Amino acid sequence: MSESPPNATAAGDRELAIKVPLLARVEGEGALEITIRDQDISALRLRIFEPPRLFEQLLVGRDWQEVLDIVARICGICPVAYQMSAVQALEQAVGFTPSPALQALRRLFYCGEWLESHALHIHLLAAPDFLRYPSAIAMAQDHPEVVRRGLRLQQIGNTILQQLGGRSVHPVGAAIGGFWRPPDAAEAAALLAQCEQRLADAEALVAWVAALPLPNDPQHFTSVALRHDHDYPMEAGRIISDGGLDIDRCDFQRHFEEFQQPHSTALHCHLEGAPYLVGPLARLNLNLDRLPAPVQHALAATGIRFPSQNMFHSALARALEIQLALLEAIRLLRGYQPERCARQPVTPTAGVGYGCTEAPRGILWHRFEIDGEGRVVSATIVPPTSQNQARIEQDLRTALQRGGLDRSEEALRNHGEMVIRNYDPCISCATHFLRLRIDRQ
Amino acid sequence: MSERLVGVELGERARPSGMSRGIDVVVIGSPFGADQIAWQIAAPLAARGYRVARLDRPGLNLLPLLAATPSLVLIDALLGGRAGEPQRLQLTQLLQQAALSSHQIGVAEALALAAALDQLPAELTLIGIAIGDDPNAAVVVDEAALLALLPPIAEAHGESIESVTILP
Repeated sequence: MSESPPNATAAGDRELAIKVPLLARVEGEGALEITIRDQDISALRLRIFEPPRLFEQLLVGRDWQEVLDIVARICGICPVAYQMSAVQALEQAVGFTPSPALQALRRLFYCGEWLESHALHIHLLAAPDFLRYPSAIAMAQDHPEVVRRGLRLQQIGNTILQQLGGRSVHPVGAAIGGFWRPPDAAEAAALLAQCEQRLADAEALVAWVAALPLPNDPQHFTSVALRHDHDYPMEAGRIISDGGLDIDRCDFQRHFEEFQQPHSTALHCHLEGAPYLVGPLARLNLNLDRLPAPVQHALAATGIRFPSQNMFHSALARALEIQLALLEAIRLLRGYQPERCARQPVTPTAGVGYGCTEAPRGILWHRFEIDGEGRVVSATIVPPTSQNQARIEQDLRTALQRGGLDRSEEALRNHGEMVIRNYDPCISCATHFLRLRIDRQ
Repeated sequence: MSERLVGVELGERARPSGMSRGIDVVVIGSPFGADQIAWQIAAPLAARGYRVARLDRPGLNLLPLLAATPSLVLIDALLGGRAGEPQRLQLTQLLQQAALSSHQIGVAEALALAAALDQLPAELTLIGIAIGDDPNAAVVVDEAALLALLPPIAEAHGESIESVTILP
């Protein structure tokens, strides 16, 4: 739905207000307002409508053992990310170091989330865009095997979450010091077999996504992601950028600043005063050398070069990360030793801790302070979608301007939505889709 | 009455593990308010010989169940109406409501996707149980009216009746 002034003039001196009432196929609700004056975008605002979740305040005063169950409910698609960043912060606050076996199990948990989140995004949100379908349902009628394959990959992710977390929606299995019920050897073996059966699907998906008609729109942006000692980053690492940043997660607030934009209930975030990108494309750009060999081969076969500054390559980055997550899950399950994964009791002590892990949509940073009785004194949660807000607005301004502002309002709206969907914004997380309004002056 | 997890391979018409046939009835609900209403009738239906799966907001997890059986009854709560009254729903009604988002995959969306993928059972009975206008009010299901809407059990079961709970 869009609006235009009743006396729209010829293309040369148009004043146009484009409103997208509800951004289709992104999570939560949002709106885009654009003011075009003399063929230039003079103002652009991405509005977040959802009421602020106030999770940070909700956590204050709660027992630290409740944190993981509470933060899992910030998002139905990425609960593991919230639990893993939180548990990293809480365990650091009390000086607990998880064993390598526990770290591996948490990484397996994360693999499940990447699989289900990326598979859902590619097949329900992104692919219909690139193939010009109004919805995944319409796309499924013409490409049923493609959608079935996507659902199989999403389902194996859910199965991993169910096995470790008890259920795939708001999992309850993660705990401070471990998991409440790690899988036994037989369950792990069954899960391993299921993961191995899905490898061919993952490889085929990479080739299929690479062959999609992805628009070419290179832009300049700073990529920010974690950097792990030896693995592709998921559950741990330093925070780096392609602009030279290399910091411990404890130093996040010395370089990144959250601030309130008047037109949005979601906080925006800058790195050294400027927008930046987090998410699959940023991760891949900064960690190509950490890809397992099969994924490197799959990437090479596409003929698409990385690092890439084309946001539309995010879809390919997600497909590659699906293949990677499946390979990682297989590797971790083959090395799984249940006897090493018993939950360790952890005693609370007063302290401050920091957590930063790679949610499917990008780095998710937590800071927790607890008192000597394990009560949360303060909580700070910086979701990836918040961090991308400024970058999304920057991208929209560039992309729409380049594409030409003489286009119909429907074309502008569709283009805007496609640009935003590259970031897979999880708006429910960030407030803590899209009504477009264009004001042409 | 025993409960256990059932796993079904997505995209295949496989039988749930441990079951000699597919599930007869799926009741969909959640632990919250009147959304529990469909769960209330899971035990009475199982006692009458139906194989019942109780799901908590299944989303896309509904698809394997739809694909695994030639005949299925789906029961869910409906806003409005006379509280406790069950009614047959037409598939086309639900398909028109479907708006797919990975954060909001309800029954309508799952059915629409299953229809597009040709994964619907040959016989699908959709029943909504009205909860009235107050989602927090306690509701008692009109069991007699519900039973009148259900297809008969296809065959007698030689094994003990089981109620299966599938976690999301």
